[in-house]
Amino acid sequence: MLPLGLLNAAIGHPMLVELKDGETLNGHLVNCDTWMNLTLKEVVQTMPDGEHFFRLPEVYVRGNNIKYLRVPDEIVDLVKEQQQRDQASRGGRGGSNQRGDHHGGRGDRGRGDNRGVVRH
Amino acid sequence: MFTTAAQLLDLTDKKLLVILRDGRKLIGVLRSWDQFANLVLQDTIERVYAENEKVFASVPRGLYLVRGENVLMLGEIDLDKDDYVPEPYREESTNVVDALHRKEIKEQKDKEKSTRAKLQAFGFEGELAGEVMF
Amino acid sequence: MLFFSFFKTLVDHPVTVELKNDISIRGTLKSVDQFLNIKLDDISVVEEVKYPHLSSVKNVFIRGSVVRYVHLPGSVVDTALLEDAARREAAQASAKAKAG
Repeated sequence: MLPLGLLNAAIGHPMLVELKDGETLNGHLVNCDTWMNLTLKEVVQTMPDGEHFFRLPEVYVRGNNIKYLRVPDEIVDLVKEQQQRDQASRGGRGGSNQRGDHHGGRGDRGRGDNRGVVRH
Repeated sequence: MFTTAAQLLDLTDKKLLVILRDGRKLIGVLRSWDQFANLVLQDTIERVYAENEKVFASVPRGLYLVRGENVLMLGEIDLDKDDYVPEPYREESTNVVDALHRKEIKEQKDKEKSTRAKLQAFGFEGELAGEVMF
Repeated sequence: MLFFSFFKTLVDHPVTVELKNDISIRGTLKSVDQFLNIKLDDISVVEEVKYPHLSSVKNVFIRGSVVRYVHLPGSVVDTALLEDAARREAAQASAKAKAG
């Protein structure tokens, strides 16, 4: 489980992103890439002083501005499940439609039954 | 030859103290890392200290993904001395320590600002060049 | 790479690393890499009461860019060898500059 694998598994889940300048963003992860660039939705932005807040429907974060991310504890279990699925589908190579399998995995991720609010 | 990655390999699944560039102190189990030294920490707590008042607090924080470039130092915690904080420090409620800590940071920032201003008058940059570290 | 090589000769010797945030950490130099990141074993903080957070830590990995000084035991530094190496490296650099 690489750090970016964890990030990928967190798609659709709430998270807290702290930027290098101390600003924090609370929102749901929509997408991410290998540079740690992120898109978030339903975001609450907190300024570094911790006293000013903004609601933003959608935010794009360039990866290099990130200090750290806090994600729900359950994501670790999700990554494990996902890895097992990936392994199973690799084992079944040449057999049934493995792309389809993988897509099913994505759907699961989005369902997010254990959504909670990440508190700062 | 020694590489940074080899060092992190030794520390995987160990309980670590990670100090960030902004002075935060995180204690958690290193579960994963990559070539940029991005870190995944599990069951993390944040330790906040107010050095002048000799108090500290522990705040449960959970699962972290820390971007490597923000890490200043990391150390493996000796499980025999786990959670040992030297005298005369005592644990206090998060609210109390947080307020004191904030005050100390502000004082330190003000002090650094005036140091920098004085250095600048002599044509020096100051080694942190605007970055505050703890 | 001179200082990388130099620090490698100091492995297993006791050193004190002073960081840019004024903390001094004493320990046995365990390894060093090309960024001059440093790993120390059996550490102790020189002013423990001022910097209490490292008290239960046994070894540290320090990012090279935050180091201000490394205090070395004078006995383990072969100054003549170091001077020679510095001259060699400077000669190589100037030869390269001429060629380029």
